[in-house]
This record gives sequence, C-alpha cells and structure tokens, in this order.
Amino acid sequence: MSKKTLIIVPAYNEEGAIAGVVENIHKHVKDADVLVVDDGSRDRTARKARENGAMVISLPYNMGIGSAVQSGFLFAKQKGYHFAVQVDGDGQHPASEIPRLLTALEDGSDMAIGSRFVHSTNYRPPFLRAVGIKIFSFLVSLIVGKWVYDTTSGFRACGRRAIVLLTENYPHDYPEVEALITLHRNGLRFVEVPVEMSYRQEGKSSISAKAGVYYMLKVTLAVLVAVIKRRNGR
Amino acid sequence: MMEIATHLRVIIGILCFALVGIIIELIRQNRLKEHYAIIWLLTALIIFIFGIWPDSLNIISRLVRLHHLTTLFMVAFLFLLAIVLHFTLAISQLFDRNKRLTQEVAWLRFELEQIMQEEKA
Repeated sequence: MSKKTLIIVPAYNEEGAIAGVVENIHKHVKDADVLVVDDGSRDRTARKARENGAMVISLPYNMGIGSAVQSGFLFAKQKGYHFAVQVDGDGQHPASEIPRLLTALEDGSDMAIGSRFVHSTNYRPPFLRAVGIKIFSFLVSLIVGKWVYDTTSGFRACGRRAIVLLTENYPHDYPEVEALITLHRNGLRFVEVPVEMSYRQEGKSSISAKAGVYYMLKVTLAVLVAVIKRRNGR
Repeated sequence: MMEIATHLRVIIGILCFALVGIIIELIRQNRLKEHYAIIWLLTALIIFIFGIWPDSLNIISRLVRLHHLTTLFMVAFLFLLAIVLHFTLAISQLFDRNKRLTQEVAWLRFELEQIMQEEKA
C-alpha cells in the first residue's frame, strides 16, 4: 500500500482522549499521516495532539464538525493524498478497523463507511436515536436505490474523487447523511464495511436531546434538497 | 380617483428625498455597498411613485380586487419580503465564503509554522 493516506481527526475540546486516539491510529496504520483538526478548542487539544506526533490545523473558532472535516479534505486535496479517513477525536471509532476501510477503497469504491448495523454489533443506540437512524436509512436507501444501513456514521474513508467533491460540497453541521446523497448524485460509489464501535470515552455526543429535533428536520430537508441540487460543475 | 391631501404628498416627497440622501451619503462613506443600495433606491422610487401618482395604487387595487389600504399594506409587505430574501441570499453567500476563508487561513497558518520550524532546524 504505497498510496498516500491522511487520517483526519476532528476534535473539539478533547484533551482527555486525543492522545490515545492519535496513538491508536499510529499503532494500527503504519504509513499514514495523522491530521488533527482542532475545531476552536479552548483546552490543550492541539498541544496534546502535536506531542503525540500528529499534524495539527487549528481553526480560529468553533466551525462545526462538517467544516472541520472539510478543512481536512481541503488539506488532503492540496497535498495530493489519495485516501482520507475521518476518525472522530473522542475515541469511539476503532483505529484497528481503518485498514479494512482502506481495503474497500483499494477495491474501487469512492467511499467506505464504517457501519455499525450491517451485521448486528454491540452498539445499541438510545430509542429515539435508533428511530432517527432507521428513518434516515430508509430515506437514503430509497434515493440511492440500495440498502444503506448506517447513514450517520462519521467513521469513513474517502478516495481521491470523493475528497475533491466533498472539498467543494460539504455541509457545516450534521454532514454525514447529506454527503451520501451528494456522492450518489455525482455518480460516486460507496460501500458499507461492518465495524465494531466502542462507546465514547470522553465528552458527549455532538447531538443533545434538544438538538435532536433540529437534527431530524435539518438533515431531512438537506437530503431532499440534495436530491434536487444541481451537480457540481453544471 | 383617489385624493391625497397636498401636505401628505409633501411629506412623502420629503421622505423620499431624505431616503435617497441617506443612501447616497452611506455609499459615499463606504458604509453601504452599491450592490445593496440598489434595492433601497428602488424602495425610494416606489414610495415616490405612490406619492406623485396615487392612482397607481387604485389600479393595483382594482387588479387584485382589494381595498386600496389593504393593497398598500400588501405591496409594502411583499416588498419587505423581497428585501429579506435578498438579505438571506447575501448572508448565505457570505457564510460560504467566510467558511472557505477560515479553512484556508488555518491551512496557511499550518504551512507557515512548518516553514518556520524548518528554518529553525
């Protein structure tokens, strides 16, 4: 595997977890560069990441997970990386599964999603979240024309074509579901790779109960809009 | 025929000229972009037309079959709606550009730090 790989780690106030995350990535993926995108953290996230041998881009203010990851895509695009893998800075994405995502890209997919639901895994989301996940799965499957089980997983690997596309077109918050439609609309292929995810070690989900309603509305609307949006470059 | 009292016409006229004056002054001071000034100058123009030619309101009223006062409010409301839509478009565009700018700045700062470190070493 001689192709250049960038691991993008978006992190917001993750000084407790970031060192372990970076360390784990280095342990499991030998020949990849790690880029921590510090999304306007107020703690020592950036320093801890640097101390553990990651490159760090610090955003001047908290821009949201989508914009943070997109900063990573921009970096990957400019620096000519072939693959970019998103691994969340809170430690819930297993670095040990990254090589399997990359293998899926080598096999010709434009994006590989680390999916929690293809096979039954140990992950059990709370009831309301489970309902939301099901709804999006149904919606996306309907549009894409094949079953997509885990549309909200942020654990993803992108090939060059997806990197270039998403650098131009990626929502600033709750980007996961919409990005799938964007890919599909532009003729890119994605596959799901079953992975086992651990529970988050530090911090909370980016989606609180109150934000849940906004999340559902925003993402549903975004998906419907993405369907009628013009394709890039047209 | 709808009659508007002369003093009302004078007030409307003064209002229009004041609005135009303020807009031109704001452009002159570089506080208002010409692009956005157009919509305000248009506003002044429309108020002016209603002022000197009140019958135009009657014509619209007959067209939409509403009382002329209701028509006035409807026209004003639609116009404000258009302005707000215009602003939302402007904000959306600014948001996208601001985002890309921030991302590029963060990336350039990274590059700069790399170069400075290499020079030190």
